[in-house]
Amino acid sequence: MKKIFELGLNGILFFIFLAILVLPIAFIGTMSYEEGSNVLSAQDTYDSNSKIKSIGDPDANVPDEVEEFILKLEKEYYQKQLETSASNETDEEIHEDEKQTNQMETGNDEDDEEPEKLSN
Amino acid sequence: MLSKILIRLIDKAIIPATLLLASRIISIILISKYLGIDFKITQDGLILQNSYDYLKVNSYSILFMVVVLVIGLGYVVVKALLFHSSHIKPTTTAKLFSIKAQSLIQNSYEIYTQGSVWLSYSYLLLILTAVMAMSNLVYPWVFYSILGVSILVTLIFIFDAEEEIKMKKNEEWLDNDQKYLEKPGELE
Repeated sequence: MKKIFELGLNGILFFIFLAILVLPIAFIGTMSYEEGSNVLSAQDTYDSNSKIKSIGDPDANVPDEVEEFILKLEKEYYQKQLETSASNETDEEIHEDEKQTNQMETGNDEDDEEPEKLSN
Repeated sequence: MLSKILIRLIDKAIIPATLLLASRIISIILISKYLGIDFKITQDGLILQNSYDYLKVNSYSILFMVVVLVIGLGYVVVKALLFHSSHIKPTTTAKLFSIKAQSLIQNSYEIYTQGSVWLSYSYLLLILTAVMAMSNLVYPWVFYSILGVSILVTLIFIFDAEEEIKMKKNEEWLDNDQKYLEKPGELE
C-alpha cells in the first residue's frame, strides 16, 4: 500500500516536471495566422510558400477580367502619383520627371507583358 | 518517500522554463514592433495577419529563444568544464573564494541535473523546429542553428562525463584505509 502511494506521488512529480518542460515549447504553438486573409495583389512578389495570390503566378487562376481591372487600377495609380509629384516641383525637376515618366511607362508596358509571357 | 532526483529536476527546470517563456513573449512583441507587424491577442492566442508575417516573427522569435538557450547552456558548460568540484584547479578555487563566488563550484549532481534540463529544452526545441521547418512555418536556418547547438553541447557534456568516470575509476585504486591517518586533536 505504501509503495503504491509512493509510486503515485512520484508519478505526480514526474508529470509536474514534464509540464514544466513542455510549457515554453507548447507556448510556441499558440501563435497562428489568419487563414482567410488572402490578398489579391498585382505586385509581382509571388512566393510558392505564400498564400497571397498574384497575377504573375500562372497557377493562381486569376480571371482575365480581374487581371485587367487590377492592371488598369495600377496604371491609374502611377499616373496620379506622377501628376501630383510633377505639379509640386520646379521646371527643372519636371523635366527630370518626364524622363522618369517615360521610364516608368516603358516599365509598366514590360509589366503588362509579363503575365502574357507567363501564361505562354 | 518522494524521489529526490525528481524534486531536484523540478527545482532546476523552473528558471529555464520562465526564461524561455519570457523570451518568447518579449521577442514576439519586440520583433513585431521592429518589423511593423500587427498582431491580435485572442482566446486562441496570438494571431498574425498572414503567413509571411508569421514566418518572420516565428523564426526570429525562436532564434531569440535559442540565444537564451545558448546562454543557459553556456553557463552550465562553463561550470562543468572550469568549476566542477571534481577537477577544479586549486588556483581557480582560490580566485573564486577571494571574489566570494565559491557558489560557482558545484558537484556533478548539481551540474548534470541543471545540464539535463537545459539539454531537454534544446532537444524539444529541435524537434519542434524540425516539424515547423518541414511545414514552412520557420526558416530552415533556424532549425540548423538549433541542431548545431544541440550537437555541440551534447558532445561537451559527453566528454565531461567521460572524464568524470575516468577520475572515479582512478580513485578506486586509492587506499581508503584511514587507520594510520592522524585525526584532528589526536596527538595533542
